[in-house]
Amino acid sequence: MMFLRRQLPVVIAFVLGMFTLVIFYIPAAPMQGIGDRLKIFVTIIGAFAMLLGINSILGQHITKIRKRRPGYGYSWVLILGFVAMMIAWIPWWSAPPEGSAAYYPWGGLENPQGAFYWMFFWILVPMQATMFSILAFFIASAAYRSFRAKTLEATVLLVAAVIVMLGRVPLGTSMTSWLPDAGFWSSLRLETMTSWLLNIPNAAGFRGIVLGVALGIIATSVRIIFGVEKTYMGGGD
Amino acid sequence: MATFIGTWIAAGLTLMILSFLYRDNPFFRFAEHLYVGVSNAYIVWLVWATIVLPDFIGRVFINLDPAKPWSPDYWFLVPGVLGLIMLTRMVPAIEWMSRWALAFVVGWGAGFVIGPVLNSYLLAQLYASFPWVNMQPYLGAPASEYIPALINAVILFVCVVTVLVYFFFSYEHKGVIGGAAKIGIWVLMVAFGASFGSTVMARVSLFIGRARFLVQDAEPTGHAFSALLTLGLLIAIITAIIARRRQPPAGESEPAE
Repeated sequence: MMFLRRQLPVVIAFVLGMFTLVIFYIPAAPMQGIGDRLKIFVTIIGAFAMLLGINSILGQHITKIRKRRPGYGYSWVLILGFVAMMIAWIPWWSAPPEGSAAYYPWGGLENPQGAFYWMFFWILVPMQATMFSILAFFIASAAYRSFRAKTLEATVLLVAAVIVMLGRVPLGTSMTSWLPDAGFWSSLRLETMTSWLLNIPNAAGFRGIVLGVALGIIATSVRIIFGVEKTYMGGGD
Repeated sequence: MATFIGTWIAAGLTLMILSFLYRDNPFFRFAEHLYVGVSNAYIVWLVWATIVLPDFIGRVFINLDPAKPWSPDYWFLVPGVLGLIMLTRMVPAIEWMSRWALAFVVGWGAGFVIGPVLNSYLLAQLYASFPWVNMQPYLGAPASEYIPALINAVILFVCVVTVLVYFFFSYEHKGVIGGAAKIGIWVLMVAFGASFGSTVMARVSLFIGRARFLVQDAEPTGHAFSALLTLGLLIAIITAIIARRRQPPAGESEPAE
C-alpha cells in the first residue's frame, strides 16, 4: 500500500519525465507523434482538474450560504451568475449549424444569437476590462510610493519609467518633435530613447533574469524527474 | 433591444467596478462576485469546447464530423481514467490516488520543459547577447549605421554580463566584482523602470478604453446625457479619492515617510 501511495507517483514522474525528455531529442515522426499525444493527454487531465477548482469555489460559497456567514448574499450572486451562464450555454432556442450531427452539443460562443454569447460580450468582457483598467490607479499609487527618488537606484528607475511613459503618448513625443528625424540629435527624441531603453538595457536586464530562471527551471525539473523534489504529492501518507 | 439592454448593463457593471476606486462597497462586491461566477462558467465552456469535446469525447465516443471516416482511439481513455483518478481528491479516504494523475502531469511537464528551455531560454538568449552575433546584419553597412549598432551591441553585452555578475553570489561583491554588480543593479533598475512604465501605459490605455465605452457607446442614440452622467460620476470618484487620500488612515498618528 505504501508503494502505491508514496513510491508509485515518483516512478510515474520518473518514467514520464525521462521519456518526454528523450523524445524531444529524437526527431523521428513516430516519437514526435507519441510526444504530441502525451501533450493532449495532459490537457485532458487538466480539464478534469478544472472540475476540482469549480467544486472548490462553489463548495466554499454554498457553505457560506448554508452557515449564513456575513456577506452570504454575494455568494448567491456568484452562484446565480454561474448557473445563469451555464443555462445560457444550453442552445435550446436554436437549431444546430447546418451539416453538424444532431447530437452535436453546440452552444456557447459558437452561437452568436444565444444568451451565452450575449452574457459574454455584455457582462464578462466589460467587467474583465474594467477590473484590469482599475489597476491603472493602483499602479499609479504604487508608482507614487516607489518613485520617490531617495537613492541613486530609485532615481534611475524613475527616469527610465518617466521616459518610457512619455515616449508612449503623443503629448510626450510632441515635446521633442522639434529635434531632427535623423542624425545624432534624433537619438534625444523621446520615442527614440524609449525604443532604445526597451531594446537595450531592458532586454539585457530581463535576459539576465531569464538566464537565471532557465537554470532554475532545468534544476527543478531534474529534481522532479529523479524524485528529489516531491512537494507536488502534498503532505501525509 | 438586446444590444440596448446589454450596453446599459455593461455600463452599470463598469461603474460598479470603478466605484472601488473610492472604497470597498456593496456595488463593487456585487459586480466582483458576479464576475467570478460568470467567468467560471465561461471557463467550463472553454475547456469543454476546446479540450474535452474535440480531444476526448470526439476521439473515443462520438464522431463529431460525420462527413469524415472515424474510428475510436481507445488510447485516449488513459487520460480520461487519470482525470477521474484526479477527482478522487474530493474523497478524503482515497485522496492519495490523485497523486498518480498529478505525477503524470508533473513528470511530463518536467521532462517536456528541459529541452525547449535549454534551447530557447538559455542557449538562444546567451547566443543573442554576443556582439559579433548582433553585428552580423551590419557587416558591410556604412559607418553611420555600423558604429551606433556596434555601440549598442557592446552595451547590451556589458549589461547582460553585469546583471549576471549581480546574481552571482559565490563571490563576495567587492572590488571589480562589486563594481560590476553595482552596474548590474543600475541596468536592472532601468529595466524595471522601463517595464513599469510600459505596464502603466498599458493599464491607462485599458482605462481610456472603458471611459470611451461609457462616454461614447453607452448611449446608443448619441445625445449628451450619458456623456455628462459619466463625466459627473468620474469627477465624483476622483474627488472622493482625493478627499480620502487627505484623511490619514485610522491608527496612523503622523504621515508616513
